[in-house]
Amino acid sequence: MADAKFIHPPNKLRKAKVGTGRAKLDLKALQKAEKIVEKIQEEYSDWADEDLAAFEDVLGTLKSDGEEEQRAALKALYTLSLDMKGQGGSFGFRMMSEIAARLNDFVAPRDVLSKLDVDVVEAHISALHAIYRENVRDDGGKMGTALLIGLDKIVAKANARSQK
Amino acid sequence: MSDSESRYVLDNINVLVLDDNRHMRTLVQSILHALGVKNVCEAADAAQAFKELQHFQADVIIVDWHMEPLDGLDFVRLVRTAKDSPNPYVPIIMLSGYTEYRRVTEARDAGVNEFLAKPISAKALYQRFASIIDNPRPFIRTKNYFGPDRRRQNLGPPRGTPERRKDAVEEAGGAGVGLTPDEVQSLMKD
Repeated sequence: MADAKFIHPPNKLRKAKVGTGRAKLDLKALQKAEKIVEKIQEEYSDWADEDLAAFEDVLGTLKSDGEEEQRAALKALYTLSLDMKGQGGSFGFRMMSEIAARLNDFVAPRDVLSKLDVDVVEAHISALHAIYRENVRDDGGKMGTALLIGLDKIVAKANARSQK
Repeated sequence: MSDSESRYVLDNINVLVLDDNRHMRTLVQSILHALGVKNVCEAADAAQAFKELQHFQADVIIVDWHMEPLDGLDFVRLVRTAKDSPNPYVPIIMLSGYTEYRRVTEARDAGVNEFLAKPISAKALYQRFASIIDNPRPFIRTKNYFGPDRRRQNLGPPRGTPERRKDAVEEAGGAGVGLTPDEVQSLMKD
């Protein structure tokens, strides 16, 4: 028999519920939380400015500096895009999450970037700027769809090229 | 009190929030305060968070995955297995921009209770809290794992033949049996 042990620790979260059985979410508290999120979304514009500036710095390094600097920039780009993937939609900019997710997927398997790859990165960063500048909050409608399709096409082209 | 009268009361629980991104920390803390949590401790890196735990008795930990030099999984393993961990049984919710199936199972196998994919919403975070409160899990210790029972249902100690018990225990705490895609989706959905 597997050498395993079941342990039943004291339930310290018993104090977090009054009554027995399944509780319903407190809708008033949830509405309050959602209003707070809306308020914070107004602050996000300052934070997004910082993040987009960081993307530009990284892009500059990828375009011009030596191999070691480029590797560091690629690592930074991975983190920036992963963070924005998680943040954008959390603050009401769903399209920014979508674009950042695609960028993150693109750079994740790469140790170095070709010139074409850098062009792909630049296209994604330009798309992020556009979405943010136009204050596109939802899925972007037809424009958003066309943008994502365009990005997917250039990614596919770059991926096909890198496999040759 | 009937089921219809039971409710969550979060004003006397302590929550530790660990994320190297200050905007996410602000967001999560703000949501928690709005939901009634009064005692929130923030940390920007895993080492700082582990130090905070020595004197902040966290009832729930919310941790981001992607950080350096220690990432969220390193932190979870510290909490679960370090000799000086003040509470290895504390429920842990992992937030992450990682959404791949293998990542969710990796987090589960490190000892996470709940996984929440970013971007997050107030409702999704609230639901993860509700899940932890409503479904306290026993812990399993095997040669390769220490953490909450990884089966979604609490089936209690395994019964039956030694072979069946061995299989059930391996499923609860051992390596090899993963989550089904439906279970992954239920871990991640809003």
